[in-house]
Amino acid sequence: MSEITLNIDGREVQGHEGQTILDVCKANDISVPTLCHHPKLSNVGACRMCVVEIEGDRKLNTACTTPARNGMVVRTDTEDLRALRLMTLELLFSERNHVCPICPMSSNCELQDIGYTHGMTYVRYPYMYPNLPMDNSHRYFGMDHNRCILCSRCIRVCDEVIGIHTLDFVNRGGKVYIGADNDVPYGESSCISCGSCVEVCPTGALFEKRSAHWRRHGAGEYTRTVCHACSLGCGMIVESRDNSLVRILGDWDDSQSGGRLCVKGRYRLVEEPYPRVTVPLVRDNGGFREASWEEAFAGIRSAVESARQSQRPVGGLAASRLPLETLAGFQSWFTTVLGSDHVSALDAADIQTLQATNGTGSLLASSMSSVQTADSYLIIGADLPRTHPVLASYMWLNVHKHQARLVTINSRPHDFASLSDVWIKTRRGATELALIGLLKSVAKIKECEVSDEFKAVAFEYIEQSTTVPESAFLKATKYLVKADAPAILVGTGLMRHHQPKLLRLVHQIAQILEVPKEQVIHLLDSANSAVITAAKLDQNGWFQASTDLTIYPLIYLLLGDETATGDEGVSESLLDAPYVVAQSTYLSPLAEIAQVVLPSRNWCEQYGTFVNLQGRAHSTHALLTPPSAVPGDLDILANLAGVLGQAWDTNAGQHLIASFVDSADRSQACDVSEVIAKCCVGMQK
Amino acid sequence: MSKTKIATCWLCGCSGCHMSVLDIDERIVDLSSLIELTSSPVTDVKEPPLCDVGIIEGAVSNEENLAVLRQMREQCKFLIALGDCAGLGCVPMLRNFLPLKDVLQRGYVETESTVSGEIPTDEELPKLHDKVRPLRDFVKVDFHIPGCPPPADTIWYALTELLNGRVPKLEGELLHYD
Repeated sequence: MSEITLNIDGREVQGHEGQTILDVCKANDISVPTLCHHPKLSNVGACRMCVVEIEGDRKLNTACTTPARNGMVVRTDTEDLRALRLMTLELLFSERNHVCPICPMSSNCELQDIGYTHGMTYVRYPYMYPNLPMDNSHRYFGMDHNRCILCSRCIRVCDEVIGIHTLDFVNRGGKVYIGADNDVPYGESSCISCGSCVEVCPTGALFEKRSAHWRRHGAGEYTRTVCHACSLGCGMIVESRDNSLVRILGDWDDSQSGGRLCVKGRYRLVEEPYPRVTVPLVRDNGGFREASWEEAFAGIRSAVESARQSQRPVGGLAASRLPLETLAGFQSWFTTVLGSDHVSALDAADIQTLQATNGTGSLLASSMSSVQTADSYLIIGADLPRTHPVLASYMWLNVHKHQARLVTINSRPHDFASLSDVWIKTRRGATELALIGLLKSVAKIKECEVSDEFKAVAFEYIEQSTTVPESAFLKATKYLVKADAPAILVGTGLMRHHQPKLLRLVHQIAQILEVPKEQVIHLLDSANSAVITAAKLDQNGWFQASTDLTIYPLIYLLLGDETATGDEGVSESLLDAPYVVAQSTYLSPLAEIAQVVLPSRNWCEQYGTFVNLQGRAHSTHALLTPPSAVPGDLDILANLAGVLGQAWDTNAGQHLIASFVDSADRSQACDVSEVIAKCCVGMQK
Repeated sequence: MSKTKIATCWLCGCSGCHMSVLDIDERIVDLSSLIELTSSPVTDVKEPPLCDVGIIEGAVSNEENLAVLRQMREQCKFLIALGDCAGLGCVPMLRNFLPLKDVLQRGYVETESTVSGEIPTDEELPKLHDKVRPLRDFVKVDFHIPGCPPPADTIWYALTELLNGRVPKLEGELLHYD
């Protein structure tokens, strides 16, 4: 890129070819007011706030869309420009019903701020008072058309960043407004509730129901952290105030997620799905009653003692969304204090299957960048828009914008069904045959040999068993073979029931398609699923979905804010277990199985290391103080060890995680001005 | 030096802006040495006498509001629109999106505490306008102080600047729309 020199406001400044005037201004700390511009979106020049004078040009130009050229003489701040911008602002205010005193985003609004900086005390033009509706049909946010300035940031983020393009303009001219799909209520649209449109809205038009009005009484604190909701570990910025979560914003600087979040990260993490457990609860008359720690521990002690007498081992299961330190500590505590190595993670079956196929080494090698740049996708046994929506964005984007092909193998309906070029809709239980079909078909076109075992399987048999015609396999094969960079994603549906042969088939297909097996993405469930073996959980492959938990005299569940086992079979088996202890943030149906429920901190009250499915490690800090001084998970275990007459140190498991000590510290208080500069989304002051 | 004569009144507003004037606290003593308050909502003066500065709170919602506004404009050399209702319509303006008859029906008949209510029709009563509008839609306004209500410091600053013969410039913390 060649260097260029411009004169802006009398200053000689450097830029390079390809930059807009606004880019050059920003790089040189020259402030130009903007409303429709967002640094991560395309520029449309809709709001006309960034107009500048260019010498030799008769008309005014928008800085955000005009390319910077060598030798340009630009003025950004003249009497005329200020007057013109004020006029534009007044027109914006007069066009719809901007009533700051009743707006949930007042004092958190870019339109308002720009009015202040231009000294606007009233509007010279008559108000239009249009009668506009408000759409409150969405569960998490509202759309008040009265406050919309039609900057189209929401449309652009939905289309360019998320890729689903739910939002767009409806009507034309003076009647134009932002609508979802074919102008249906937002709550009934194809919206995936990622909340990106709300985050980039410069006014109060799109507002979160939860955090509405919250910021009118002062600014919160912003902290960078990683999302705990699934194994992707997207970057996010948490806004908190007075020890409460206000809202969650995407981290636009995160190279992996690029500012994206999904409904799980942005909205479900701040919801309290069930009543909070703040003190120990013991079973009483079919329900629970509050108990002292002494009473709860005494109950557990007698259960442990009778288990010892029966000489049967006790079992322990941890949720993989807990920090690595907690998981490693739990393993250490269980083996030392309870003397049992039947300690595992709720989703251990996925990892066992993976290891049986791949060996231990390759688990963390998968790279997300292959998904970002792929030109065809093979997705097996996964409903990506539901389980890993941020990853699904790359498919929406590449399919819609770059004609990438999408092949799905799934026995059940899924949210990529209509987007798929080919959906190999196999019959339930016939996934293996569907994979053999695809393998044979791919091998045939690529002129590769398949093993005799598969040669022997006739296509008629495959067609019959899967109910998928051979033509579908051929079509899928054509798309995958023609692709320069295919990406393969495997859901837990293929891993959960310990069928390494299915994964092996996938890897054979990958091999023929020249996709390295490390680049086959295994879509693990939880924030720390990828490293439960690093925490030495499930060393003996004890726990599988089919494991009978009822034979264990005591099951200890370390759940944190996990509320489900992820597998119906496990939940049912737990129901019949004789004695269950649950250390749980919420009194969820899962925790209600237990005889004793001990409190636990939630994701933003705990701290520790998280390693996502591509091996990216981050340590996080506690953001909030837990209610009723709920102790940390390991402190509770240490206290319980004392009651059980054993000495155990909370640091006992820490040496296990030595391999991740150099993990990047992700949890840091952000400088708000820095966040604004980077995110440029309504969180001023 | 003779004191500056100031008249205040409220139209379709909630009196909050006048409360905010009183929020200047002890500075009101200094103010009283500089001004003479000729009429206000608590004085029993039918028509405001000629004065230097008129301060109006509230929007124009009915015929009476408009008559008072016009009177104030005639009697005052310098007219200030105080608060968001006077400047932009604000909360009273929210009825602009409903037909007038629905507004009256709701207010006089359907309110939860009303028993056999009816919409008053007396000729003496001022007629409601179809739309609530800010002052500047009817008369020339010399200065706007936005805010709901405007902060006391903003009011104090604006008044003292005017009394010292300067045009106030509202910016920074002094400028609020909410």
